[in-house]
This record gives sequence, structure tokens and C-alpha cells, in this order.
Amino acid sequence: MKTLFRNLTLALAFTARLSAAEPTASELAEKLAALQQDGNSYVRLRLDVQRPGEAKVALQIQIKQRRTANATEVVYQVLWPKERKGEAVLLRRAGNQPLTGAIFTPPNTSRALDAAQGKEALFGSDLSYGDVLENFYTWEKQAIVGTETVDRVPCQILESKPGKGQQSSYASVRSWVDTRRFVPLRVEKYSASGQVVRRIDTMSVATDDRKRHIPATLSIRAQKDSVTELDGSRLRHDVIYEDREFTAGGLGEMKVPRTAAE
Amino acid sequence: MTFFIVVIRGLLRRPVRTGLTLVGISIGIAAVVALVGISRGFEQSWAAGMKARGTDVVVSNMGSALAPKPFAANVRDRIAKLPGIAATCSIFVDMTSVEDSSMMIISAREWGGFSWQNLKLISGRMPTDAEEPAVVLGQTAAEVLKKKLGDTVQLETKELKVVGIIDGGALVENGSLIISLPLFQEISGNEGKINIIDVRATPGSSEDDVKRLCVAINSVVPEARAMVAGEHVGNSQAYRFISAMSWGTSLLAVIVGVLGVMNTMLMTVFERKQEICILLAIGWKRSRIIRMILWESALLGFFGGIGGVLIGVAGVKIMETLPAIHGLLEPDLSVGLMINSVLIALVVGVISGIYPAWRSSRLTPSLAMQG
Amino acid sequence: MSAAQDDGKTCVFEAVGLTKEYDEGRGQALRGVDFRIHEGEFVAITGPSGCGKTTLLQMLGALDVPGAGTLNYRGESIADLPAPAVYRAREIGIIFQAFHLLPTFTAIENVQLPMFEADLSMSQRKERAAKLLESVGLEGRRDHFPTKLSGGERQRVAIARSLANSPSVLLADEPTGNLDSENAHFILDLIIRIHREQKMTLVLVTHDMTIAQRASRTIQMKDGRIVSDQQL
Repeated sequence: MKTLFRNLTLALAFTARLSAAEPTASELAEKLAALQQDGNSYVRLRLDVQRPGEAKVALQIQIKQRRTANATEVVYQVLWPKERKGEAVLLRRAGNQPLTGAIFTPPNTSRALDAAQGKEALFGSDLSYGDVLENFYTWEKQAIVGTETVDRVPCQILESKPGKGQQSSYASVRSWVDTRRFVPLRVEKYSASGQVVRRIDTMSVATDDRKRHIPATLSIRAQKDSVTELDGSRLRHDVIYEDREFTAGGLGEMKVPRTAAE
Repeated sequence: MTFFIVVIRGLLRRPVRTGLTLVGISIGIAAVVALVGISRGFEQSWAAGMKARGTDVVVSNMGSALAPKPFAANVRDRIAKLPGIAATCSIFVDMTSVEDSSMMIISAREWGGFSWQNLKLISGRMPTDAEEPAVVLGQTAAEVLKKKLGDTVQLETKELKVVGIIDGGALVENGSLIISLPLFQEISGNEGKINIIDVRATPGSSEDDVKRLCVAINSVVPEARAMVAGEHVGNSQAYRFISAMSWGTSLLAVIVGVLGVMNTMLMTVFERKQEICILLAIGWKRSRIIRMILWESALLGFFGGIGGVLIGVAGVKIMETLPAIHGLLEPDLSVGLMINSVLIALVVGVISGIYPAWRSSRLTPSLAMQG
Repeated sequence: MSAAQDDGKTCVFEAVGLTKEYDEGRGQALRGVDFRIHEGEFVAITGPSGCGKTTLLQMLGALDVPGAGTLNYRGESIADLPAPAVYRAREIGIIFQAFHLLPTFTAIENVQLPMFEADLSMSQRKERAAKLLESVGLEGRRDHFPTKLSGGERQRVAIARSLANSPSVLLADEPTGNLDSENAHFILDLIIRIHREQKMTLVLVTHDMTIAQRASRTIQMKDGRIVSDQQL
């Protein structure tokens, strides 16, 4: 009886410790990956690009996305300014297959995109096409390499490295994750030589229509003195898309999706 | 020489320390003025906006965001059937980034609804029908977007022509883009959805009647909440958070102020120990010594309060001119708030002086003979 | 206040069996002191350092209270005065060795300080302070701060301050102790002149016998006791 009691106490103590502990690297990566693979969604944001010695370029953009564990399809469309209205980019990727897509320039010019163009800049920003699609939290190698406080928030540093067959232009990515809200507050992407190629800072966090914490304002730096800011004003889930909208032929159409009936 | 001069000389004995203490209290009081002014102003201008729309009850679902959550447009039909209601107006209010401005209020109103009636045209005209791709801008919104009559505003995928500039009689109205509800629902993909219903009670309804009306609405509309107009922004979690933050910060500022003044006054008492003993030895009553110290700390509070009000008002005025905030703030910098802030500072001063004054009155006059 | 009469002279102070301990009984400043001081007298209290003379002066000024024994002012126990501050303000003028002027006030303002406890208007205070400064020969220095005055001038301001509320008793604690001999002479003459002109009782503490010799009576103290009490 005594032994049973002791074992029970030990087991209880162990469980309590487990539940209070920080998530492991794979748990953290799984959770963050799942947050990105959130089905159909619609985003409205402003994209500001500031290059040294140049006037700031501001674009109003709508993003249509279909993200699942197996495939990611994203359409970026410029709404404003007038002279660039209608410019659109379609990016697709199925599993670990290379990226495909199309670029549309009004009134009717369209050209295909392939994996070789993955490093090109999206609408002249510090973000590349590859960055838009890549969900590095699904990569094979995930490890917690330390902790650090970012903006007075304690963060776990999660290092992600692509496994065999997982193509990426980066050798590794580090995310400073606020494990209380499950929001990366900083992301650094490294080249094979260990240089920081891109740094993404979360400037503000908001809650979305599913009451999840998401980065609302991001600042992205890919080269010296140049900075891109993404300022999100809306995120809706459960929107209805037609397959046509995610084809090169459908890129010229500009419409706002309807929310599925509740 | 008056007793007041004796008090002033005490403060001027260490001008740098007195100055720094004043700066400390001023910053604390400036925080009170700015934060409380801004949060009160927000609530008041929202209430004024409701009045300007001629609304008695607002039905909405305020969540954690500043814009309420959408619900089905047919909710309105259930409300309209209730007794005691003169009119209803369906609205969709959204906050979004428009062109190169960061956050704008879009107020989409039921075509023909009473919420259009109180808009005063400054120039131009109202849209001719519900489908006309047109927008009416509040005067602040026009300023922020740098738009004039005839220009176009890009809202989502649609270009809308600015046909009128209006004075809505309240900050919220003046900072809004006002368009017809069906047009906005189509543009934003929110067909069949609204997020606010403005309700006008039958003329002659008392405040209690309006409150009873809210209860009746709440019983038939579980997806939203009816509130007396002007109260409903106070129901927003975001607003309550801002309000709690402003009061919390103010309280902290006041505590810091108390500690600052108390520290200064204690230092003063320790430093002037012998002087106080001399005053006792030449016949000053202990009560006069207490009064002297309390007056000094009260004056520190008073002048710190005045400085704080000036810094707070200046700070808010500067904030109002910032491009990111312009048009979004209408702080309530009323005389009442300023007087209250100075009074708070004065009370802080007096409270902070009580312990040092008590300490000073405990000194024995025979110490004057030493040294 | 009523006071005892000795040969027709009013008794101002009467001490019986005065004692005072310090450091919680480890030392004794006064060990049973008895005396009477009459109105208009100039009494010099002398003795070496630590003999208890300053402690005695503090008790006369109600700045301290006796451990045992009684000390009466005009028949009333000083220790039991309901408002010792009023006594200090109206009956007593004190002159300190180190002048003790308040540095943030001018000469005329320092003189006005005790007058806050008297029923005088602001203009009356100012007028009276000006007259007092004139009486000590400082009419030209009234708006100077203490740091701009010489040692002798500072003590003259302190004397004017001690006379602010027309006291009947002047208590002086080594008033010339911080002055050079020329100024010391001048200040002593001034105090004696005031004592005579205003018929004030003057109790002066000093360890300087040449000063004590100018008094009408000398009380010599040693180890907390009076060892001699002589009329000169």
C-alpha cells in the first residue's frame, strides 16, 4: 500500500511538472505551423517600403489565402494606389514541391513564375516570393537554442533547419517565440554562411476573429537601410473562394470574398 | 514680510531640488491630464456622435476590438417590431487603413435611415441613391486623406467619388467615411451583415423607458447587446482597458509624486533641523512650524500641478498634430479636468508633507544652542 | 503672573533643588541648584566648560525642563507652563554664541521672525524691526543677507531679533564667544546698554571673568553646582 501511494505521488508530481513545463521544440513548431495552416483566409494590409534616399512607397493590398498542411495558395493584389491597382501575384506550393505561380500586370499581361524566381522581391518590398509561401515550422529539424527577452517579453528561441528534400533559400531560421501567446516576436533567416539575410520584427500583436494572437504590424529588413512595414487592418477566416481565383487566368479579377454563412 | 514669504524662502533655499521635485510632480500630473483627458474625450465624443445621429439605443456586439463584431442584418427586423421604438437604422462600422492613412472609421448607413439626417453638408451633396459609388467625408477625414470634392477614394477594390464633405457634429462623425450600407456590404464582402443598429425611441420616452427598451431588445436579440447611446463605447473591452490603463498610470504617477514630495520635504526637515530649532527657541509655536512645512509641500504640489496641466495640455496638443493620430483624438481638456488635476497635485503635496511636518514638530528647541 | 518679593524687589526666577541628568543618567549636568534672580538684575553665570551653565540657561528659556526640583518664572513653574512657546516669544529674548540667523532672510526679516507670534500687522512688524536695527546701529544694513554681514554685525542683528517682542528678560549664551576682542567689547557694551535703558533682567553665560566682572552679580558654577554667588 505504501509503495502504491508513493508511486502515485511521484506520478502526480511528474505530471504536474510536465504540464507546467515549456513546450518542446517540436511541440512549439507544430503549434506555430498549424497556426499558419488555417484554411481559407482574407487579409487586408498596408505595405510601406522605405529605401534610403527615396520617397516611401505605400500600397494597400488584399491577400487571399488557402493554406493547408498539404498545399499553400496565395494571391496578393494591389488595391491602391490607382496607377498600380490590379497588380497581382499568385504563389502556389504543394508539399515540398517547388514554388509555381504567376504575375499579372494590368490590363492583361501575365507571366509564369517558377522556383528560380523565389528570391525575387514581392512588389519591390523586402519580402521575397519564397518568404510568402515558406512555412519553416514544418521543417524537419526544430530545436530550442536558448531564451531571450524581446520587448520585455520572455521568448524561446526556436531554430528551424530544412531536412532532406525540403527546399529553401535559407540554411536556417531562428524565431523568438512568445510561448504564452504563441506569437513569434522576431524571426531571423540565415544563409549557409551564417549571415542574417532577413530579419522580421513584430511591432504589434492583435487578436483575430478566432481570438488568436497574431502579429498585426511587422517590420522586415533584408538589406541595409531599407525597411518594409506590413500594417494589417483585417483578417477574416472562413471566406468562400472559387478555384478560379487561384489561377493565372483569375488574377485579373478583383473582388472581396464573402464570409461563409455561420 | 508675510508668513507666505517665509514659506517661499523655504522652497527657494534649494532651488535645484525644488525645481526637480516640481518637474517630477509636473510629469505625473501631465500624465493624469493627458491620459484621463484622452480617454474621457473618446467616450464623450462617441456619446456626442450618438446624439448627432439622433440615437437613443445602440445595439452592437463590442468584443475585444474597437469595431464591433458583425451579425445578420435581419436582427433589425426583430427589434423594429418591439413597442416603444420610433425608428431603427442598420449600420456597419469598420476601422481600416485607407489609402496611405493608417486607420480610418468607415460608417456605412442604411440608405434612407435616420442616421443620415443629422449630417450637415459643408460642401457638395449627399449620394443620389444607395448604389451610387460615392462617399461623403467628415471634415477631419477629408483633411487626413487630403481629399476634396470630386476626388476618388479607394475602398477595398472599389473607387468611390467624394461627393460631399460634412460636419457631423462630433469627432467620430467628422473622422469617418460615410457611405451607403448596401454599397459597403458589397465592397467588403459583408452582404447581409451589419454590426450596429441605431434605435430611436418614441418621442417623449424617459431615461427609464430607454433603459427598459434595452432590456426588451436584449431579450429578443441574444447575438448583440443593447446599450443606452454613449454608454456602449464604455462597454468595449478595449476602451475599458484604455480607461483602466489611464487611471492606473495616473495613480502610479500620483504615488511617485507623493514619494517625491515627501522625500524633498524630509530632506528639507533634516537639513533645516537647526533652523527649525532656532525658530522654536525664538518663540514659534509647533503648530506654526507644522503649517510652514505643510504650506511648502502644498505649494510644491500646487505649482507642480499647474506645470503638469501645462505640460499635459501641450503634450496632447502636440500628439494631436502627429500624422498617425491626427483626427483620431478629441481629448476632453476641460477646465474641470485641469482644476481636478491641480487639486490632486495639491492634495498630493499636503499628504506628502504630513509626515515631514510631524517630524519637524518633534524637534526640541534646546538643539538650537548646539553648534 | 505673581512673583515673590525680596526687600521690595520682584523675584523673576526662583530655582530650588534643580537637577538634570543626561545620557539616561550616566552624567549629571545639574546637581541641586538654588538661586533667585530679581527684576533688573544683570547676572553673569560663569564656570568651566561642562559645569552646567548652558543647561541652566536653557531651563530659564524653557528650551529644556529640569529633571527634579522647581524653577519658577514670576511664581509659576516654567516646566508646567501651558504654552512654553508663548513664554519664549513674549517674555524671553535669547542671544546665541553662534548668532543663529536664518541665512535665507535679510537682516530686517530675521528681526521680524519672532514677531509672527505677536499681534502685529505686517507694516507694524516691519516698522518695529527697522527701529530695532537702528538701535543697534545697523540701519544701513537692513536688506543684507547674513552672509554679507561681519560677525559683529550678525550678532547685532541677533540682539535686535532678541528684542523683537519687548521681552522682560534677556538670556545671552557666550554672546561674544565667536567675536574678535574689538567686536566683543562693542557687543557687550551694547547688551549692557540695552539692559540698563530698558531695565531688563539680563542673564549672561560666560567663561570669561573679565566679562563677568561687568555684571551686578556673578554666579560661579562647577560640576553642576553653584560654588559662589557674589554681588559685585
